[in-house]
Amino acid sequence: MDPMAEEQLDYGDEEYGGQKLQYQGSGAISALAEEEMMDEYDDLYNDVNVGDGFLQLDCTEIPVLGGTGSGPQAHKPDVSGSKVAEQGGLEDVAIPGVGLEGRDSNMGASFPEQKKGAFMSGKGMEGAAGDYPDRLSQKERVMDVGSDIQVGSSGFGGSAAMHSKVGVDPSQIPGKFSGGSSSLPDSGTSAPQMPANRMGMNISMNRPVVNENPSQQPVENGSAMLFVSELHWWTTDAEIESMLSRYGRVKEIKFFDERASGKSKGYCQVEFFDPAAAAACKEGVSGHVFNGRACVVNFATSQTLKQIGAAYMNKTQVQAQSQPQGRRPMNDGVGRGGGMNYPVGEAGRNFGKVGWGRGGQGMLNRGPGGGGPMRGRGAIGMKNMVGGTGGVGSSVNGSPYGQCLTGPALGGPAGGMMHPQSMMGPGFDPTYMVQGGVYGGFSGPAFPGMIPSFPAVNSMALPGVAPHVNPAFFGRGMAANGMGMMGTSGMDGRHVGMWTDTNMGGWGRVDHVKRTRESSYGGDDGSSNHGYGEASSERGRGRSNAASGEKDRGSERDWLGKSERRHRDERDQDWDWSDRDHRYKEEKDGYRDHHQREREYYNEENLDMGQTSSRSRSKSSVMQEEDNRSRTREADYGKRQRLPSE
Amino acid sequence: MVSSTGSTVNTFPLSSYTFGTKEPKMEKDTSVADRLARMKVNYMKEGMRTSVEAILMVQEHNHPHILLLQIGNTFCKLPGGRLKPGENEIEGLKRKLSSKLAANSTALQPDWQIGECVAIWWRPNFETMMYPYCPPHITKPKECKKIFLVHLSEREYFAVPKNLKLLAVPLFELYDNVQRYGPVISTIPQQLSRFQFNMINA
Repeated sequence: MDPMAEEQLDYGDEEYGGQKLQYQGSGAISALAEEEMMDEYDDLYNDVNVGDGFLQLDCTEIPVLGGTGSGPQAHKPDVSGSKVAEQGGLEDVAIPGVGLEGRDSNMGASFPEQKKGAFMSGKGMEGAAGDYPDRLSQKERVMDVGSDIQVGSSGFGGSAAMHSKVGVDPSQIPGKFSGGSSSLPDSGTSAPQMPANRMGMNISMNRPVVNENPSQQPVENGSAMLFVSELHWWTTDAEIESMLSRYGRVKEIKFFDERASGKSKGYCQVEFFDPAAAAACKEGVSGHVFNGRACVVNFATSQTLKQIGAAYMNKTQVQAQSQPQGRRPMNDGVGRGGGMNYPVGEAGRNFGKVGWGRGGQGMLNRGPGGGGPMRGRGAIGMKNMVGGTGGVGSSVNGSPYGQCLTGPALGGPAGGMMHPQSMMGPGFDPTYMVQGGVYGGFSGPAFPGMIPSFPAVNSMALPGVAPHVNPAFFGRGMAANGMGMMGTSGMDGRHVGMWTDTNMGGWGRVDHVKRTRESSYGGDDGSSNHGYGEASSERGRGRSNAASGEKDRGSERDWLGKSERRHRDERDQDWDWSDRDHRYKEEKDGYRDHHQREREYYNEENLDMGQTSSRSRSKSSVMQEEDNRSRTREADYGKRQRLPSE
Repeated sequence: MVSSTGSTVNTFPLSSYTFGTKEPKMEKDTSVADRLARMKVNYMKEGMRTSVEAILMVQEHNHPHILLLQIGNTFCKLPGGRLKPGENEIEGLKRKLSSKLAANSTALQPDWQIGECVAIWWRPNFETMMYPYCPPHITKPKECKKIFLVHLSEREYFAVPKNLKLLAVPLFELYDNVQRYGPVISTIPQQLSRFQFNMINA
């Protein structure tokens, strides 16, 4: 083992430059490169201290699986490959995935290697997450991977996909990625593309990993802890236990659930008394179909344990805010993305894996072109992503929104944790920059974690897309984020505005439909209610959802101010819709008239009146004001019309 | 009269009751962690814990109030507690109410009129979170808490342990106030909304 490690190291060193060239060169070498990447992946992991057991597993398995001959061979190429990956930046994420593929094909010992790869990818993410503040690499890598692997999808998506293929992935990073997996083509072909883009992990990381691998033969030596993920929220603990107890005595099964609702997040932590039983269980249960969904089993590493545990604890505080969003859209989606707010490390992880995966799909729609530009941008975006729960959010929203919306969906739930800059991240289409430079300015306002670029991108690049978005979905899922998105898109111009308005309008409409205006507290709905429900509670000024006194709205108001003119027309249309709804609901004639007048000036009124304080004014006074305004407006309009004729 | 299903509750003013004190009744656990640990031990021994709690109502200013026991300065709880294994719910609740609120002398034991169960909360894990349903992925909840409405008669004598305070909290104070009272108590107004309160003035 040691000699092997040394060989790997040396190999890696030597190969680093060579590998790179090879990598960039053609797919012909990809197989080798993939294997090499695998090793590097291990090295990376060692460095990050993620999966000691994992590494061991890899070490032990590889030689075993491939036989003595193949084992070392496999290692060697991997080492070099991994080195290359590092250089590329993406490598960590991408390579592991690719490596996995290659490994399987090459070695024929698919399972352990898969696990390894998947594990590594997970670890790599984790490690990267840790390093993230220091460097963009992980994020970028993820992005690149995603883009490369999934046409234009974010790196995470790609890696996530890869992971899922391996079947190990989610366990470490609880079930967030479910979506990503499907999109990833197991191809080593993408790997060569990735390295080119970024500098990623340290090579040094790999090296130590390599060294340790051989020495850590007994993978499961201390690790009797597993993560079983990719479960339905209705898969019970009894089902898991009955399945697991066949492999040994189970010490504890701990499910991770959403604090606010108690619903299962789809993954659990299983502890056996005997590490060997845990290993056997992992092999036997991984991929087992529970209620029609194949689970994923991974070893628990100290790092993942910490992250998941921390996330779980943090959830209690953050859950309340994000939970409503998460709960609203689809159950499954929510379940996955439910843990919206994770600690940085985990968030970064999830984001990369799940969110990007979805983003990748979205990007697909836009065409391969998205992937290319994304890479460049990804660096920026990735950096921010790490901190945020964007990934989580995206995972949640990705499914309901479909392809086109992956962008916004990604941004949405993560909102809270994302930096403003993150918006520029994955999926950021350079064309947008060109068009409006909005994104440039976007980094300024701190939206609640949405990636404005996404929605805007959609609307601008594909005007047809925005209208297709189901406002109900968007509004609900992104209630809080919608604001952020609106802010960004507002800058973009009409299309964006339309989109956001639609979003809001739809949301508002939905809300109004669901509850009477007066009672639209929406307390149960949580954030979505705050955003819009409360507005409606203000005596039926339902449309006030845009301008209600939510803190989030602040940015929206600014946006409204800027784009008032532009949006007013659009808003009028939206308000019309909501007006109609309101009319159906409202019996009060006076109110109706009020609304009609309101409609025209709503934007300005919202801006002028500002936060809820204006709302608290008596209805009559408001009406008076509006009447005045309307009168003046009419006068203005009249004047304007008259002028040209004169 | 409508109360065929017992949906009318007579409430009397606070002044109609007499409150005395008795020896302190300390909490068995000094911290949340202790409590959860003890819960775990009990779970291993006896299985799922069933606890019962009582909603005692009075009226002030024509608005229903609930009697809550305040521990320390902030934490409020309903009178009640854990049932012994196999104990009947109603009997267990009477036992707990007497233990908490009745004078020690047997002569002054109130005759507790236990009404219907208005809410059931579930604890899926050994944690502080409880939900008004058992989450679908949990087959073995750790605790089941049943909340009963208790009809007080016109005159009662309560002896409150010295370390606790008995508060009469109006429903509007509980409503939508999860931060202060927690999900179980803050949602009591919703559960009681279907009752007709007969505000009887002294």
